[in-house]
Amino acid sequence: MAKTILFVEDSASVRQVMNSTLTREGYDVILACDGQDALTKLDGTKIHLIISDVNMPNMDGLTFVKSAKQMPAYKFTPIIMLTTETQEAKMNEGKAAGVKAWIVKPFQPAQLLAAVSQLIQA
Amino acid sequence: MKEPMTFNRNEYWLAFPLLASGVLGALGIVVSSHFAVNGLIMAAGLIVMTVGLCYWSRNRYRVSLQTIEQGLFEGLQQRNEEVIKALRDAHHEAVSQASARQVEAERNHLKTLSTDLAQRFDALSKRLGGQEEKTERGDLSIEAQITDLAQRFDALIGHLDQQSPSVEKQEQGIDGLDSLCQKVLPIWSSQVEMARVHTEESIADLAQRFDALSKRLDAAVMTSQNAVGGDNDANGGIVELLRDSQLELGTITNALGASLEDKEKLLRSIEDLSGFTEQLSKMASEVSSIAAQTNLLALNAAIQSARAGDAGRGFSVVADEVRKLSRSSGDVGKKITETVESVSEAIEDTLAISRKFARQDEETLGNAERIIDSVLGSFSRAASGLSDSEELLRTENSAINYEISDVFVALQFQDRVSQILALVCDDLNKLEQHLSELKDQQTNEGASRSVNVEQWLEELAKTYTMEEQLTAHDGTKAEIKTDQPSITFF
Repeated sequence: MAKTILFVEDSASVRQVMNSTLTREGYDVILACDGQDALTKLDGTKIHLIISDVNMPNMDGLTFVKSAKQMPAYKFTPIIMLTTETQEAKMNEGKAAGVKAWIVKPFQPAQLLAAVSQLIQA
Repeated sequence: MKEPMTFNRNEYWLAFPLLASGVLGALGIVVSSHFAVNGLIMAAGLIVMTVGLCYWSRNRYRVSLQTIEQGLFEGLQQRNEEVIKALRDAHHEAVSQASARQVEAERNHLKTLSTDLAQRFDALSKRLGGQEEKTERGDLSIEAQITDLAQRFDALIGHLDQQSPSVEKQEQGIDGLDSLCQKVLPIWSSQVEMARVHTEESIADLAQRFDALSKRLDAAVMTSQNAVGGDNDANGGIVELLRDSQLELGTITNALGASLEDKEKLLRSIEDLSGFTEQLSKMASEVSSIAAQTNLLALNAAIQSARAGDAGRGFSVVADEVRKLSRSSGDVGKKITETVESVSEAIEDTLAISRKFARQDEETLGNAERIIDSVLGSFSRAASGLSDSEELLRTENSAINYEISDVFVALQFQDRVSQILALVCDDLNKLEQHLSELKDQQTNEGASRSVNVEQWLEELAKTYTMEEQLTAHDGTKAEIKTDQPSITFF
């Protein structure tokens, strides 16, 4: 059975690129355009991994991650942050919020898929 | 160098207690022995005297030490004062020399500054349209130069007062710039935002097209692979079809060969049948011969019966009947011969036709085998070509997928560009809003307008998320980073 990944990103082009990359590997992908939109997708659906941007309108990625971790169904769902942000303070904030990996854009599809596979199987 | 210690005049008295105690001890012993005084009383007196003398000598010794100490202290103090005085004199002299040099350096510096200031005044006067004064000031003292500069400063203020209407015009010009900024900044912002949105939509569409292209290519490769090698659903490809065709066509040629063999057997049977017809022909000839001999025998019997007269009349009837039978037998023999000849001719014809068909079938079978071999060979070559094409297609597909992967990486830079442009838009809007607030503030309060540039730039720098933004902020030409992405696992 295909694994389901929630991808949260405000850039339409990056959403499209990620959707293509993940679906080609056989993953089911749920797309959201910001943190608020992503919270509406967390309706009890089984999600094996969350990938989120940091800087987004309406609700930023770190706030979304903290909210998601409050939900019992997604408390242990592994999370990857995919962002242009390189500030150590932000990374530490993400680590404290329960983020498992921090990837700086642009991502190489092969490397991203390796990280996704590693975290889903862990 | 240490000086030798000398005793003071009182120091000779230090030996007196010891001398006195010795004399009194000796006197005590003499008195105690000659005057028969009680020894204990004398000893006590002697002890009291000795203690008194010791106390007195200790006080004297302390006084003597104090005197020595005071002498030493006074000597040292005097020497220290002399040394301090010498050092103070040397310090004063050094400070005076350094001050003189410092004053000289400061004077030179002030002279340079005043000269530079005078030159700037000259340039400022020239730019403001005042009269240019070029006087030689190198020989003037600092005080004179400063006085000269003060006079020129007053003259410049007077000149600026005269020029105040033109300055007001310039102020009016700055107001116009503010209004222009207030109007043009939203336009710039919307233009940049529009360009950003268009770029993002185009890049998303481009990514989608690349994805569709890649998927169609994958499907084509899969189809080609299935056509050549077969798929996983037990549907054979062209290679398996070729193998099956070869087997089935082999079966057909074998069946044709078997049929040919059957025909040869049939031919041999017909040839055997031809042998039987010859025997039948011989038998028919023998029947005719027997019929002829019987007829001849019946004729002889008729002749003999005629000779016998009435006695042989019955025999002649038998002879006639035998002759009729012999003629019938002869006729039958002829018919048999004719029939056998007809059958023999028919068999010969059949045999000829069968031989002809057998040759034709043999040739047909040979042609069929050659054609089948030729067709299978052509199919095999075509299949091999298709297999090569499929392999080439698969290799090309891998290369194209790799290229598309790179394209996907490149397309993500639009996100970085989009973030940079969004930040510029936000700052343009912020500037427009700030200018509007400043204008309202001036209108209401008549206060002077000011923008804290350093604070503005500092706040702008805090909003950056990428290194190239900080680099560009510092005035260095920044390039979009194309390094390998960094992954940090927590």
